[in-house]
Amino acid sequence: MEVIMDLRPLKVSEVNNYIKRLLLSDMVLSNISVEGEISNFKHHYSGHMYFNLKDEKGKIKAVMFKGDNEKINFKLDEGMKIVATGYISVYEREGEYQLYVKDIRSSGIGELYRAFEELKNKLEQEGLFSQDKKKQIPFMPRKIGVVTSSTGAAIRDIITIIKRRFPPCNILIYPTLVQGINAPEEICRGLEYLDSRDDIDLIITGRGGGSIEELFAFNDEKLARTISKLKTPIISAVGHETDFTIADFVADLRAPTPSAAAELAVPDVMYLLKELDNKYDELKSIINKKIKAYKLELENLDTKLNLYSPLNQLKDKKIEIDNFLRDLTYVMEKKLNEKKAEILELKGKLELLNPNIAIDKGYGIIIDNRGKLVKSIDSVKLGDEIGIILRDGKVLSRVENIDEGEKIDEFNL
Amino acid sequence: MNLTYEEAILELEKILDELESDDCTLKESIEKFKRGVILYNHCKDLISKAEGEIKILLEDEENTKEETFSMEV
Repeated sequence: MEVIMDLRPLKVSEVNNYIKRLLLSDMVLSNISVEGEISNFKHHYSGHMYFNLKDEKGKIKAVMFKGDNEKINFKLDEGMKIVATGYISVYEREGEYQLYVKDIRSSGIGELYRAFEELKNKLEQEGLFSQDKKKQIPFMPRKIGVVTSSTGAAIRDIITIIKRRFPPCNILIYPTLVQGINAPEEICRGLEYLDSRDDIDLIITGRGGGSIEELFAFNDEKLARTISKLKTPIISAVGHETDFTIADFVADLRAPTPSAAAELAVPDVMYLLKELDNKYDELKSIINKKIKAYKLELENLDTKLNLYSPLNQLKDKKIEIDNFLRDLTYVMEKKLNEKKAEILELKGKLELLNPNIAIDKGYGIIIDNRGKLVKSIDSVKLGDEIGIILRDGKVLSRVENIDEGEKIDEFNL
Repeated sequence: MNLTYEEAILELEKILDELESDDCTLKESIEKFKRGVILYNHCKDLISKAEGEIKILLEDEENTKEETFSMEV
């Protein structure tokens, strides 16, 4: 049994509005790219464009307002294959849904773009872009293999910059096509060949700027897989700063341009030399400072050592001894002089007693006949012969008289 | 000496740190200094080597040969 809900009938405009809101709230329809061929194209005098997009099985109405279509840089025409991006909504007055186009790309490019996105997502899911797969770019490669066209600007830029930054670096070029259907295959062969050699430290592959179609060789799936299998680190350098290719995502390092790849590949020798010389200066200054410090310490120790040296004590003792010696000499000399003076005095006295002196003055010495001195009257008798010794001879005499008379105590000369 | 430039620089930096730290005897310091000079010379040699070659691979009948690449061509 069928139950019929008894609802209030809606007005046409309410239905249309309801559908419109439904469409606008849909995730897919509110931001959609539609591929198709242009038909029934009208560029209205108001500036808006009206046309249909169709394929073999159907068509959809489309509108592109003036403000949006002014931005397209190519002319739309009947039969043209395009990708239109925008949203789907309802034109309520006609009860028609249509595509409100905000942007249009030519379909050839659209396909490339979609292929790119699909491949990118696929490879990303497989983990080909994973950061832990990235190999370290060597700091100072001895030989760099370059896979690119031998006639393009890219190889010239790369060589010029590598030679300028790091002249000792060797470069081996594997020339290939860099666009067109055969390019990916050739590039893959070049990469595999260079990778099989054991003298290549780093590979650079890429090309100079070009249209999306021209750069598309670097969005090839086989190339991406080849790159991801390389054992040699690789830098990709495709087109300009704004161009991203699958090769860029798989490579170990993406350089925005071929010139930049060269900059990233080798260090700057001038900078290295400066850095190196700074280190050398630092090394010398540290060791000099150290040696100076040791020298100073040594000098300090030497001073201390001298202070406590037995030699030094010996010196002191020597001075002491010298002083003693001087004192001793002084005392001795003094004593000697005193004795000398004493002797002189004695000598004087002695000289006074010398009989010869008295004789010289006219005194005589009396001796008996035995030659003995006659000092007293008791030593002679009357008649004895005595001799008188005078200065110049001897007088022989005879004692005739002895007078005990005045006594002379001392013979004072 | 087989050290790469980075290895040599790293060792040189280590030596500088050690010398600076003041923990070593005079003899050790002199030894380290000598080693530092050797490392310095090694690094300098590595970056002052003769100009590298630029070659291009040419293929003919499955033979690959290398030829000097001239930018003028």
